[in-house]
Amino acid sequence: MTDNMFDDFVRDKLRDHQSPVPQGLWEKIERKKDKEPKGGFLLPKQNLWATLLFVLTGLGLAYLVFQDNSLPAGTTGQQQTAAATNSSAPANDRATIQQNTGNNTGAFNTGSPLANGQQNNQPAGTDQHKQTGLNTIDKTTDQHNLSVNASTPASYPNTTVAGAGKNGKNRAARNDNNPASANNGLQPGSTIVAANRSHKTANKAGSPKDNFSNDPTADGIAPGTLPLNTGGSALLRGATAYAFRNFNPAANDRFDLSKIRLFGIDCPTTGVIRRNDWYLEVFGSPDVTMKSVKAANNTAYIQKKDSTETQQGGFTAGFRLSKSIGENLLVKTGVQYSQINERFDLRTENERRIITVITIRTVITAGGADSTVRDTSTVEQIGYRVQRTYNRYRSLDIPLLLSYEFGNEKLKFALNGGVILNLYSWYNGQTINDSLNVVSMNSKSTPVYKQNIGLGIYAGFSMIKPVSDKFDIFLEPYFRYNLSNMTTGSSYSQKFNAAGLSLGIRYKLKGQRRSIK
Amino acid sequence: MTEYELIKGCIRRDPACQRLLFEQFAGKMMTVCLRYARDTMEAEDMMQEGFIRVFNYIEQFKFEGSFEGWVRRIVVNSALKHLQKKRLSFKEVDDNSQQSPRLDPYAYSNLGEEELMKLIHQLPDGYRTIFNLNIIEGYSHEEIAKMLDIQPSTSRSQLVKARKMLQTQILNLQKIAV
Repeated sequence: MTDNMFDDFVRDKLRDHQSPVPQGLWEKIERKKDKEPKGGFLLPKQNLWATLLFVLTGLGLAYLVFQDNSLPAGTTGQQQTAAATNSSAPANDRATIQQNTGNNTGAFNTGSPLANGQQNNQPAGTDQHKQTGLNTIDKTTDQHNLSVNASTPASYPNTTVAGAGKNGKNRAARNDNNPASANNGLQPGSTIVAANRSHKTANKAGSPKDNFSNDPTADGIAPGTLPLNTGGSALLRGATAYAFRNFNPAANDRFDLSKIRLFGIDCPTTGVIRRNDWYLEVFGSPDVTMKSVKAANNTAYIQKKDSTETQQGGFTAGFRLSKSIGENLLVKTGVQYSQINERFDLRTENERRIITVITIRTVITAGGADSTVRDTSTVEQIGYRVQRTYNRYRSLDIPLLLSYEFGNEKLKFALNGGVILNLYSWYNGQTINDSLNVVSMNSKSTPVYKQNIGLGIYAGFSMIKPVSDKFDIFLEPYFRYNLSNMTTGSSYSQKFNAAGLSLGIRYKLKGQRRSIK
Repeated sequence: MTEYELIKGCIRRDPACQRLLFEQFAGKMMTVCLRYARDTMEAEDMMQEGFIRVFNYIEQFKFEGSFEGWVRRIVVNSALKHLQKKRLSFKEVDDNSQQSPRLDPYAYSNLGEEELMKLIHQLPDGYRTIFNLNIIEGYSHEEIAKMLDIQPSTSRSQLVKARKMLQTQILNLQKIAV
């Protein structure tokens, strides 16, 4: 016979032959095929809303963090002394506030304040300071002290002007250690000029009755200058201008701060160090999880569930953006991923398995010839089978926390508390329902658990150790308590609580400190 | 339900259609797996992996050609993948005979499917795999060489050895019967 005939015979016999399928094989395939969703990794494809929210949150936070509130470059505290020209006042009585033009020259000079201004001949002693609106200040001469000429004053976050106030007393003065921290300067081209009530200028013929004239040099006041006693320091916020150091309160020059009505000034209280820090925290934490299951009048279910499911811990990882809202308080938010691991072992008794046994014997006949005999038999084994599945409970959450921080520069502590808002939860694995049947946790048609488990309460205590100017490391034991149960049905309820130890790095994105003396 | 509707249902991940598809092809695919596996447990594992792949990739079926052939290819590939995890070896079995034994058709014509399965099962792993792929599935030696990352000549020699061993076993059975 040819080999081809043999091959054809074997092929014809076996190609379409059907063998008995072991019992329970479909159930195994059904469980495994649901366990292995195609594609996807972390975020289910259909949950675009959670992804969109995540992206928008990140963009919004990034915008808040990285918007430029810094001073124009070149802003420094400079002392300028106006050249006293044609003025009867001693030159050292004058001080100059100059405004940065934004040209990076380090000198502030926006030109004659009066060139742009109007003169308003008012009776002496009349306070003609007007405001036409929040964004403009009328170009009115303050008969007593001040002429303000600003086109579009921006917000003035941190400005006070020091000078001799009434009765020769110093007004609030601030010495900003970080000149560049003043922000939101006036628009280039705007100027602030203040004149001292008691500053007497030589009245020249033709000069207006007020202290100012269209001629910027008529009264000896150089453009953009502020005649103040020297001997102190002043910061005119919004003008991004600084004055000088040698303010002399004993001089007759008096500067009435109350006459300055620059709207938008936020004058912090004196003697306070204010903190304005942004941090980015990245952390990870191994978790110990505690499961709570309740089933009314169904202790058999509770016992079965306890015997089949074993907790194997979990972990949490994420990032948080922190913003200080005071010297000690911070608000924190971000995104975190949590996973709880569980082992599901289901033991089924009376499992049967058929084994084929082939026995080969060599038989020696009386004639001396030997032959090989093969016996084929089947054996049925009865025993138990353990089906093991590893369950995963996954969730994406947004923490909203308040933190109270204290300590010193070497070591800080923080009390953290707040809520954890669950964005989305998803599950893989198996569990038993209240009828003691094995069901898949990720079944779409009959979901066992909710896709959103609501709010949780968070409490933690941090220990923060600075390791460099920008980086801190922190250790934070915490506890998370979920308020709602996670099951969809009403026959039993289940929820997880977790305790963990976060280890993380905190990066100072931007920060500034201002103190007022 | 037609085969088209069944496939469409499986693409929609309808559990009932998936169950029907399994029941329709399970018997034949179990035979396929039993031919490649060393024992029943291993064949079961191959079946599981094979059908899970069928359900996961069923939307890639273009309704061209035989669907049974498509399923069979997937199951065979799953079986080979399973074997390759266990490092399939293509060893040459010591054989001192010079040529294949002479086997008359009547020597094997009465052999049933189960007996043939058992005979194939007794072959070494490499012989058994090549014999299944070439004789029963119909792959050429070049295709087998690519699938198993071996030389076509290795595939040919393994097939010759496999066939020879099977025929020898059939002859021995005939002697016992006599």
